[in-house]
Amino acid sequence: MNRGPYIFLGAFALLAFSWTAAILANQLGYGTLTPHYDAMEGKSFPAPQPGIVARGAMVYTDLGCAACHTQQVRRADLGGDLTRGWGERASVARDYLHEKTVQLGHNRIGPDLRNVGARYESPEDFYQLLYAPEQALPGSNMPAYRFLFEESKISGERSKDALDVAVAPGYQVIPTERARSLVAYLSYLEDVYAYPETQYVYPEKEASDDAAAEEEGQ
Amino acid sequence: MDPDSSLPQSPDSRPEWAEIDASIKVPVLFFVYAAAAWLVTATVLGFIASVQLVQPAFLADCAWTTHGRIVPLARNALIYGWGFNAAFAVLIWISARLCRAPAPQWGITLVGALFWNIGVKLGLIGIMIGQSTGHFLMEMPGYAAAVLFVSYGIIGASVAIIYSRRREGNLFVSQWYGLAALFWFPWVFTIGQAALVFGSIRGTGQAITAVWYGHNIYALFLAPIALGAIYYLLPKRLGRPIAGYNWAALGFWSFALFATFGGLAYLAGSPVPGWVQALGVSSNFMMLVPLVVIGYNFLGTMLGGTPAGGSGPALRFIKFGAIAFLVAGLMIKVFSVPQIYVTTQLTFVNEAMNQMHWYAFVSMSFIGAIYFIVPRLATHAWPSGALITAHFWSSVAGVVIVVASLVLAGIAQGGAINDVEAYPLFADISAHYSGYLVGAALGFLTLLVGQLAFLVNILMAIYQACFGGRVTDPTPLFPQPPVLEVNS
Amino acid sequence: MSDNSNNDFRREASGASDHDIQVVHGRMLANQEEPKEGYSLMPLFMLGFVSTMIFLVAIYFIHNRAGLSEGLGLATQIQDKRFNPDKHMPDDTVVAIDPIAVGQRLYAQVCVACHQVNGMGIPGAFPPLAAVDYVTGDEDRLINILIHGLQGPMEVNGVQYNGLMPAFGPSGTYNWSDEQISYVLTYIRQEWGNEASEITVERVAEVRAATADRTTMLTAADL
Repeated sequence: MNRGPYIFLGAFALLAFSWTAAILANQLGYGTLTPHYDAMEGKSFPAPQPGIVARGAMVYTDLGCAACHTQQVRRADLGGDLTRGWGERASVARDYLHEKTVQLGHNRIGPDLRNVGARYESPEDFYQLLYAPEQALPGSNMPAYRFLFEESKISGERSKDALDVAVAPGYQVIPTERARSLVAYLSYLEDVYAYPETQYVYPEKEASDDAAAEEEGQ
Repeated sequence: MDPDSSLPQSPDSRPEWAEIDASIKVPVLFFVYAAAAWLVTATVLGFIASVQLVQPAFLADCAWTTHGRIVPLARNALIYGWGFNAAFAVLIWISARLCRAPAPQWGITLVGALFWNIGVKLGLIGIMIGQSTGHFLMEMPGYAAAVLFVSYGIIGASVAIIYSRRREGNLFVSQWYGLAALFWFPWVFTIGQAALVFGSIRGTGQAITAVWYGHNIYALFLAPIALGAIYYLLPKRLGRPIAGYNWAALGFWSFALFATFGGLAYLAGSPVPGWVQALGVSSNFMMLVPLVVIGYNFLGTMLGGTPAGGSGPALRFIKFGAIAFLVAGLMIKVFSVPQIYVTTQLTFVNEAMNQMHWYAFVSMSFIGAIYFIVPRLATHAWPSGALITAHFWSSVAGVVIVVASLVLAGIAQGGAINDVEAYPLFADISAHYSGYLVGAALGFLTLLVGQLAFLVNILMAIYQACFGGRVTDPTPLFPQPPVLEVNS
Repeated sequence: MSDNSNNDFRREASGASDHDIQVVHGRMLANQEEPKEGYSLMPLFMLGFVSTMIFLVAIYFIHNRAGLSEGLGLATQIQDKRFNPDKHMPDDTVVAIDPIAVGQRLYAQVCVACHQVNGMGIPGAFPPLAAVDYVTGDEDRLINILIHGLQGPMEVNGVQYNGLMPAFGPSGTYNWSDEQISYVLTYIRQEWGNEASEITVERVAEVRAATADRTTMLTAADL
């Protein structure tokens, strides 16, 4: 029996179906998703990324931060993200509209970073964490990113950008351009704006079954 | 008794097979060598990555070896280096043998093979120096992807020519899988690259495309070829036809249809449309259909009696791969249950499932096929039996240790992340599961021992094939197999 | 190498030839209707099993399709079946805008530099806005000043000024919309003790259309 042509046509139809359902349908759907214009604030959300933030996102991508960090705050019924203070609300698709490379991540070896800009106030905190995580957060299993910093001899006055870390006397530690961009990106990660689709708060696990039963009863 | 297969002029005549084997010998042996070398590379990188999880300072001072780059390096070396090279070797062998047709000019296939490996190296260097695209299994920069695409075109065309020249009227189930995979990969690759590397999809639509691509590299290329290898080697080694062969077509089509959406389940709970998550979870449950059919084919054949040719490495690895396929299929269903994935999602369980699919199932099946193919192409027995035994047991032990440690680590990790009161600080969480990660690192070390044995054995076998003298009549080495009967 | 045993670990023997595999399996497919002992149960089991799976999974999918029936576009905002856009999503089109709040923000961004937070201006340099007839009086005059700007000597509440107020209409650099102009004017007419009427967007549009010919700034004589 010569089934070659049937296998070929079947395989083609199957992949075409898979592509239509998984890729094309979403391309169409996401095409209609736009930033939300807030007439009260006179601005659109999410806010566009300034240049340094976009460069920082590229640093985040090329260093592979997503190997250990996710960028998705999950609903109240899907774990302890909100209780842990990783976000004020769960992430929604609209939050990521300006990300050139969306880095949802798939393993939480470190904490979620989607809302990290709201958790750390000053760039100095981020620099400390990147330069010496073990000192900034005792017990942390994050590797140090010393190569994002330059150790230089102090000539004249100490630079105002120098990190407050222990180095040999007469020397200072200065963040490089890449470190500055990365920290600008991390500080930008602050999903606090309340979109129409975030107004609904999902009930926690125990309550959710009742809510579902209630809805079905209606 | 089957009258057709004992015709006076047997189609199994030795000169014909010698011609076919000679036409594929050089590229297949090259693919096998390259695959084994990449396998060792990938495991070394995987070991480094797992050590870094326990000792963060290890190789952290250089941007090229930071953990975030070692992880994609290990993954890409395993899939595009080992997985694809081994898949090409197995695909070419199965196609030429089952089509009973010689391959076209082997020199051209070899050029494709060389360029494929150059492409992988370019891609890995690109990731190392910071040009990663950041999408799962698509980390290689665009120029490396272009090289891979062109070289796949050369390799794929030579396999397609084998099919077009075929002298067997029937298409065996292994050929369905092989033929379909042959056409699926370039489409999946083009769609993924066009959407994410060369074009751009907005927002989390990127994440959907990336998991679709990443899962389909497994589900529509590596897995079909591995299944094809198992379907081929079980009757070939055991001397029994596939049990319930009538159902194999159902298994084939349902596997392809549902496995292609399986990756979307990784996004359950993520900021993507709810129907996409539901589609992924539904497909994972529908995978029970191909799992039952293929499981019936495999287990029915394996348990049908004593093997005709005694035990051997090919049969052992293939059996392990077949059982790992079924176990992985069941595990994926367990981790698709909402009450369970609340804990296990975004943890090491994802990594454990990848190891289960890529290593326990696909790689073990490919290794089994390679153990069968190489002596026949080299016309010499494997140089060392001890290295084979070492490879088998260290692979079994390594896979079990790696998967078990990662699953346990993932469950501990997920439970701790969700229990905010008991583990308020993140440092407490990592301390809670780091013991299991030591186990995973030891597992990679165990795997590495066996893979070094494998590589040494392959190098010796290739040396024998080149300088061990030509064997004009391999019949004493590989005697004519007995006639296959339907009701054996 | 000379070992002829079939069970050599280093070179496994085949149990069947490739041609036999093709022929036997080809025949198995061709003869699938051939009845055999205990064989007929398998199709029955498979039929039941496959249809049960399809049935159950279809129920699961339809139950969890979460907005797929609302269209692909809206579905991108619906991540779970419990989220019901009709019930839980405020309607975008009827979001009530508070003109005072928006006006206050605009004032704080731009006007405050001259007219100050308390609306008192700087005597002799920038005129006040609180308790001034130009602000609380004729609506059209006020709109006109904002659209076209004002320059030259003038007297406000008995103090002489000789300054320049930029145009916020199309001839100036701000080029505010009718909405923005109406919000900020409403704000200054109702702040700092002022209690004048609201200025509507429509009124601004009318004035803008009526004075579209003007290319120069207003002076005190035009008021």
